[in-house]
Amino acid sequence: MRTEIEDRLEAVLATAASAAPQPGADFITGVRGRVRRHRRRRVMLGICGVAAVVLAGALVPAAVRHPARVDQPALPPPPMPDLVHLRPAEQVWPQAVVELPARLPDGRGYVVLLALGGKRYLVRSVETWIQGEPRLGYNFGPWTEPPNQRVKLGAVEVLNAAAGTATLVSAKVPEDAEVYPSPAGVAWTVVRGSTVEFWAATIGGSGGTWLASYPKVHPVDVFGRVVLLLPDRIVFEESAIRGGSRSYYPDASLLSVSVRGGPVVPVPGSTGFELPDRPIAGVDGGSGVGPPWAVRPDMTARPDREGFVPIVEMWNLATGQRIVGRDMRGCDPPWCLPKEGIVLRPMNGTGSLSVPPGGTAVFMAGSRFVTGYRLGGTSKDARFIWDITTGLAAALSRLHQETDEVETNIIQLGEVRPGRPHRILDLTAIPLLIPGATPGPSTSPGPSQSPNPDAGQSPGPVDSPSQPPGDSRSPSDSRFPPAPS
Amino acid sequence: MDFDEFIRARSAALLRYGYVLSGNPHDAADLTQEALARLGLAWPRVRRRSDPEGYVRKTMARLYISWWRRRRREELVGELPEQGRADTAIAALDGDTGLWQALAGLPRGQRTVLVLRYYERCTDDEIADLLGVRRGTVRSQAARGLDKLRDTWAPARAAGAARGQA
Repeated sequence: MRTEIEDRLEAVLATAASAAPQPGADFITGVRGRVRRHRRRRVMLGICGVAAVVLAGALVPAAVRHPARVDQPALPPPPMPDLVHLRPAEQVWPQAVVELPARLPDGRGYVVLLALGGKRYLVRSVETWIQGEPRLGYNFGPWTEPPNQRVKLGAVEVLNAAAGTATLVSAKVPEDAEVYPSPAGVAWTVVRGSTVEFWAATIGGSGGTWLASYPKVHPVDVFGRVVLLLPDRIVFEESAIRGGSRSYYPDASLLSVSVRGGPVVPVPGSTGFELPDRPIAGVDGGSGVGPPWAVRPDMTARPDREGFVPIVEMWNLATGQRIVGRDMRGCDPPWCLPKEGIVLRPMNGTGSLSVPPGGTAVFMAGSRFVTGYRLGGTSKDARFIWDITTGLAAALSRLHQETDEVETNIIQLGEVRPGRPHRILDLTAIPLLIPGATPGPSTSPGPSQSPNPDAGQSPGPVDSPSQPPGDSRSPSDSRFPPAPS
Repeated sequence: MDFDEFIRARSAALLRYGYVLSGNPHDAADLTQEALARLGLAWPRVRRRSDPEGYVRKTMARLYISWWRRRRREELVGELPEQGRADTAIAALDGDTGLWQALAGLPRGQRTVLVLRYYERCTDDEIADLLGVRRGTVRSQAARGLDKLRDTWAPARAAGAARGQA
C-alpha cells in the first residue's frame, strides 16, 4: 500500500521534471563535441611495454623535450593468433601470475594500481571496506561491484611483494581525487570549493606537493582534467581546466610544472596538442593514443561521419619523439588499430591483419599487448589478451577491474575481497622470449586469420618475435599508465 | 532514425530525467550530454537492439551514481537547485514540506532508486537490472531513502501546519 510520502514524492518529481530547463541551441553541438572527444581517445586496456617511453624519460628528467621528428621503421605485421582456441592466461604465462598478500603489512586492505617491475606494485589502501568488491573505475577512483557499496580509498604506497614491505608514497590523496598513477609515482586532481587543485607525489619523494590551482569551470568538463606525470614534472592540458578557453597561454596548449613545485610554464611547441584521456567504456571502434603521447588533431578538418577528427601529429612527451601523419587515430606507435574489428597494422602502413570481431572491437596500448573480445569461449572467458611481441595469446576469465576505464599494466584475475589474497596477471613479468616454448594452439595463425599477404612475411611468434628494431623492452618495463577507464 | 534525430526527439525528455536525477540544471545538462555522447559512440550496436532510450537512461543512472560518488564536490546537500523559473513551480508544490530539498540530501544511490521508482515508475526488478544490483538492495535503498525523507518531511510539515494555525 502506498504511503502519503510516496504520493507526495511522485508529485514533487513530476513537478520538478516539468520545470526542468529545455535543451538549448547548443545542446546537440555539445553532444557532438563530446562524441568527438571520446573518439579521439583510446578505448581499450592500456598495457605496458615500450621501455623507451619510461627509461628515456627517467634518464633525462629535464623539461619536456623539444620534438625530434623521426620516421617509423618498417615493421612486419605480427601473426594473428587463433583467438578461438585459447588457453587461460594462468597456463600461458604462469610466471606472470602473482599472488599478493591480502593485506598490507599494517593490516589494511588495498587495491593494485600499477606494476612497477621486480614484484613492486603501486597500490592504494582501502580505509573503509564495508561490503562489495572494490574495483578501480574511472581514473582509478573507487568503485564497487555491485555498485552502491561503501569503499573508501586512502594512501598510495609501494608494496614490495618480495620483501613484504610497503612504503608510503603519499597519504594526502583525497578520497574524491582523480588519480593518475605512473611508474614515477602518482598525480591527482581534486576540486576544492571553486578551484581544481593539481598535486603529485613521486616514489621516494616528500609525500605529495601541491602544484597548481585553477578556477573550476562549470559545468565541469569531466573528461578534460588530464594530468601526465613524468618523472620530474606533470603536464596538463590547459583547455581542460579552462573549459575550452586557452586564454592563459595563447601559444601553448599544454602546461607543465615541476613535481617539486614552482611556476606553471607553457610547454613550448604544444599549440594544438591535447593529452590523451583514459579509455572510455562502451566505445565501439573508437581510437586514441595513450600517455605519454600528446596528439594534435587537425582542427581544420571536418569530422567524418562518425565524428572523428584526424590526428595529424603525435608527440611523445617523455622522449621527444614526434610523428607526423595524415590520420593516426588509434595508433600507439609503432602499431595502429584503425577500424572496428580486430585489425592491426604498422604505422607505416605496410599491410595489416584482421580477424572477424567476436564482439566489441577493441584494442590496446603500449604496443605490446592487445586485448578484446574473441570468438568462441563462454561468457566467463570471452576476452583475450595477445602479446604482439611473442605472438602468444590467452583467454581471460571474468575481469575484476574496469579495464575500459583504467589504464594499467596488471589484470586482476580474482575477486578482491577483504582477507583474500590478490591474484593478478603482472604484464611486466611476461618475458619477451620464452625459452623452450613451442607455439600451441593459441599461437597458430590460422589461414582465416591471415588474409593479408604481408602476414606471410612475419617471422614465427616465438623464435623471431615481431619486435621493432632497436626495441629494448625488458620484462620489467612498464609503460606510462599506460589508461580506459 | 539516425543519432541526430534521436537527440532532437528525445533530448528534452532526457534532460527532464537528468534534472530530476541530479537536482540542478547544470549537472542535468552535463549528465544528459555525456550519456548521449556515449550513446552516440555505441549507436550502431544500440540501434540494432532497438532500445537507445533505455540505453541512455541506464547510462544516466549509472553515471549519476558513479560520477557523484567520485565528485563529492558537486554536493547538493541542503541546498535548493539553482534559482530560476523552474524552482518557482517546485517551491510552490514543495511548500513548507521541503521534500525536494530533502531529496537533495539523500545519498546518490538512494536518490537514484527513488527517482527510478517514483519518476520512471520502474519496478524493483527493473531497477535492480538497470543498476546491476540485487532486488533486495533496491528495496533496502528505497526504504532507507523514504525513511530519511519521512524524517525530514514530517517535522517540516508539522511546522508548516503550526504556522498555518497561528
